[in-house]
Amino acid sequence: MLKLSIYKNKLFLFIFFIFLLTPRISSSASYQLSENKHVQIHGFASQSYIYTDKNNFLGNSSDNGSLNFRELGINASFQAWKKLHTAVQILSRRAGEFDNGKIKLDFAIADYRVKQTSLYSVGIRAGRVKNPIGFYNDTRDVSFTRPGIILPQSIYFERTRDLSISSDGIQLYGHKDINLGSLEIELFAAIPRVKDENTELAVLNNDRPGVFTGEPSYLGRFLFKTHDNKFKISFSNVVLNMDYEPAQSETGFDTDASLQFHLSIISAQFNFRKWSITGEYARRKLHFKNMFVDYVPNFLSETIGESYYAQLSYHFNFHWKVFTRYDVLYQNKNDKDGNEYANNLAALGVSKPAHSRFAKDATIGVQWSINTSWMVQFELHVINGTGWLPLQDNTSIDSAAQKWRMAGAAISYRF
Amino acid sequence: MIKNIYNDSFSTKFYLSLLFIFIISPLQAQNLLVNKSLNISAISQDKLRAIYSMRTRVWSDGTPITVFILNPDSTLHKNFCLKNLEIFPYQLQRVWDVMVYSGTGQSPINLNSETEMVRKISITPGAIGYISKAGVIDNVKIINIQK
Repeated sequence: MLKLSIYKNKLFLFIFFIFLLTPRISSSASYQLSENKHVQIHGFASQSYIYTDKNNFLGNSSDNGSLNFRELGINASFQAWKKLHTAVQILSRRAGEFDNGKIKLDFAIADYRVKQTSLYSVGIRAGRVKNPIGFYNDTRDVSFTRPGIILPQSIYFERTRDLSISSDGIQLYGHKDINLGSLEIELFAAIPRVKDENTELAVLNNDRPGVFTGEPSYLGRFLFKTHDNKFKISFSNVVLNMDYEPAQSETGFDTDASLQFHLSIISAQFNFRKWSITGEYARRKLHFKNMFVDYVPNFLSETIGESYYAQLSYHFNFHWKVFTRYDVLYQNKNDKDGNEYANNLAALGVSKPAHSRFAKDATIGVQWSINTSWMVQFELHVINGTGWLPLQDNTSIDSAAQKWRMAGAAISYRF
Repeated sequence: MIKNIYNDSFSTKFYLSLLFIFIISPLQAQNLLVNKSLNISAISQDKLRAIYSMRTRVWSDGTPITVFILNPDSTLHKNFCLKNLEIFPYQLQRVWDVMVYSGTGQSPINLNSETEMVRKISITPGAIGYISKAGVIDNVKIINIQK
């Protein structure tokens, strides 16, 4: 089984490079089958280097840096009939201990436009569809669509990426052009991809012997943007349901244990000529049902998490961009310094640091777009708190350093 | 004298060639081209942006829109973005990227030359594109942009 997956990875890389090398009909990788029918093939590849002075992120980054952050993707799309569009994308991602480079199906969509005019459209997407959350989730693995190498972690957690990337279900979507700009809406009913060790660690802070399964969940996003692209604002809402099947040995868990996660995000961006200001604000709530019944007090399930960031970027010219960002995470908005959490756990004989309940990240970065296909990025983070530090990359969160720094460098290619 | 020119520093040559390029090709708007079968003579800038963002995919008569561009790295394309659409090329590229890499749309079709652009538009009903030079060409017509 292990041998086969290594073979598949090599095969994928081989196919990918063949695509890069063979001359294409036109440089946009668009193959015309007939008058209005085009197949398009696109892909991306990104290799990053991450260094941290303390703690680990996306690999063994504190030990001379880590090259264990690599994203490869390839997709194909086909406009089959005037109203039907199909697309599929596969992804291979290596990210420290989160992702081992195994090829996964990122999306596979059949998109039917029920009605479309030159002013509005209404349609349905079915299959594995990217989750519409905030400004950056739809294409979070594509460095060209990210403001920097690493997305603001307070909202786009690496830890819960598997839950957030795409889900299997049905999405209703629509857009309407009005005087001031355009409105877009997406409503998604889906089963999240939760069969993963990462999910348990993210949600329960432990790889427990039981199993999470996804249950029907609901996502919605509403966006308004002006015609000249100077302003856009969006509201995203997620209600994620999961069932937990406890192992025999797990006390304090009933057989109908379940979890519900609520997330709401407001996102806004202003674009003036070469300047761009972006901000997002999120609130999170976790509801446990029939879990942790005997021991952990309710404080865990009544917490409201809060995150926000503000980001400023400046494009010098077509090729160079600099940006700076301040990103804040509170696991519990009523216990911002984490002391109440640490004290509550200490009373139960468990020792956890207060700094694991928040993170404040000041980032500065530069992006060099060599041309449309190639890009280089550098960034530096100065972080106070370990609120989003992954347990996977760090053997012991208890001995993690509260203040730490991270530097990143990445080279990316797209076609 | 010849030896002196040969020994010119790289930066001098660089700035001289930049100056040359600026004299030869000032930033100018492109001509908007559509297939002749389309019953329009002008388009609003907002509509043009919506078409090039791949958000509007059909004309008002229901014909699917086929969007053509020249190489996004070319001066011609950059001029089109800055002068005709009045948005930065990177903003448009980002809109296409989000669609392409989330499976919710396709990017415009990238053509290698203006000759190819004219040819493709003339044989594709519902096609739109841009060129720098005007001229009398079969099956295509130039339309104006209204703000």
